[in-house]
Amino acid sequence: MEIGVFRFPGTNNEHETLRALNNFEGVSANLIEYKDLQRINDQDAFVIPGGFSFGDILRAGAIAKTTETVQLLRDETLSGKLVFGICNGFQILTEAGLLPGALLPNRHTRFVSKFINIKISDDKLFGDLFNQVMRIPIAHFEGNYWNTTRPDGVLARYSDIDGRDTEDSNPNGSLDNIAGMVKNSVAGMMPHPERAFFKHQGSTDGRKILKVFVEAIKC
Amino acid sequence: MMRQENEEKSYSGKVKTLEILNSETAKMIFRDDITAGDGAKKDNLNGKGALNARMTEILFNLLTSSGIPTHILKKEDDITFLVRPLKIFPVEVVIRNTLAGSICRRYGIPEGEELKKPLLEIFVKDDELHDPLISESVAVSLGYIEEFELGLVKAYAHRVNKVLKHNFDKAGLILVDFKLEFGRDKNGLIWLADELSGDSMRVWDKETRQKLDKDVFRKDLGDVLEGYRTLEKRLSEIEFEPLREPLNVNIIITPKEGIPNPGGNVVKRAIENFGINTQSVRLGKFIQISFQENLESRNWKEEFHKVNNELLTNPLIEVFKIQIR
Repeated sequence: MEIGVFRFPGTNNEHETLRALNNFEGVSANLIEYKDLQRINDQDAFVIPGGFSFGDILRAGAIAKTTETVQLLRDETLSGKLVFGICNGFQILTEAGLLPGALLPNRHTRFVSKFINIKISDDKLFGDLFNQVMRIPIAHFEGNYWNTTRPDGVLARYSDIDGRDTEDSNPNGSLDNIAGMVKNSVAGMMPHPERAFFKHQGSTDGRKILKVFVEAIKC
Repeated sequence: MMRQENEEKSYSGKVKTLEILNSETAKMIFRDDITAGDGAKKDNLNGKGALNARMTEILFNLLTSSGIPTHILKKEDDITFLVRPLKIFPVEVVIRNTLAGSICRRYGIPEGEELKKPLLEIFVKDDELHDPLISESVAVSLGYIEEFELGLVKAYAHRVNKVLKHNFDKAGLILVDFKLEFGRDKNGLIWLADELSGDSMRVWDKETRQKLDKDVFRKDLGDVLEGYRTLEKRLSEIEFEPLREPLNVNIIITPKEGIPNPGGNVVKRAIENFGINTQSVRLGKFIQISFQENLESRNWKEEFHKVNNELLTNPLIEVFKIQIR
């Protein structure tokens, strides 16, 4: 199974993501430079890793969404291929309109980098993990999820260790503690599952999330 | 002073005739008539039409090479142009570099003083009302012109002034003031229309300050055509220098009402350190875009709305305002 991992100028999580995905049996994760358009069609699924694509100029993800890469990716999702955006990848997918909502600067206007807990709210694509609480790191400045109405398709919510989406467990001011969204074959989240994959990283909960994603591709 | 209406095949203005040939072309024909005082004073001067057609030809050529989109397609004969059919805005734009004419009467000031910077005024095109001055907000509010279109028209008018003034000065002439008309084509594009000649400008000799325009006829100062001939001769003798002034588009982006604006809150607290209590502070963005390319009239409004909605702003959380300079 071929998973394309995109690198835009300013992407900085591609190697952790590749290492994590390649740890799964039968997965070949491939680094795809964003201009390398002819490789897109050969992939079975895609991950847009974290970073600061195009320096987060205008808004995080705003420039990346105008690239031909993301236009092609849009076509790929129409044919049902899975796309997973992590952190900046999630921001790109919301900017592109592939996921609903927008990511504003954090409520407290500080970059936040720490372990938090999330509870999986999606009972479809990530249904195997439904209601499970995960310990996983975040690292972002613009992760404050906003939408005009409470959206459908919440993938995960920031929570306390018991899975309650309290105000105190919301690290950035997100509407309804939303940490990630899923719509059709497109998913995105601010937390970094590839940074909670190996024991030495302090948590292996992220491995469960990526495992479900990889297994969904096999189906 | 010509209304171009598609439902009429031919329209006769005070000094020109317009014939609509089809949806792509019309004929603008210069006659020998001359009028003043909103048509109260009239005459017919042999050769006047051809003289003004020639002036219009050379000045519109200069404007075209300076990036101003004009309605002229080609000159057909001494008095006839093929032009784009337009819906002419019912307002005309006047640019003044030196005080003269209606502004002096309106405010009781003597003519002749050079203004520190060019002054732009808008008038309603209506002889019965004697072409009254109109404010920009009234013109927009009454639907005579859209705000975006007015911004573009003003930007074009100032560029026309810059290029004309520069070249008139080279020809030993003072460009005192002039009138422009603009129109919108069936696709919503905006073009400079009408003419430019001694009928629509005030021009003085730089040395003697002798009038070389229609004021000679208005005030019975002698042979008006002699002035027009001098204008034509002086401007034909110099080598025109086109000017390529960039068109500046400012885009102001603000967070939508009700959208959290954490950066604004930080600045709000900092402002309060100065002892100023604020209701709220909202941080947005200001983007200035300059364009050199402008030879063809473009649908700026549509293009900028697209680039704003698809790139510069996120319509879910931000609103934008476009200003043309």
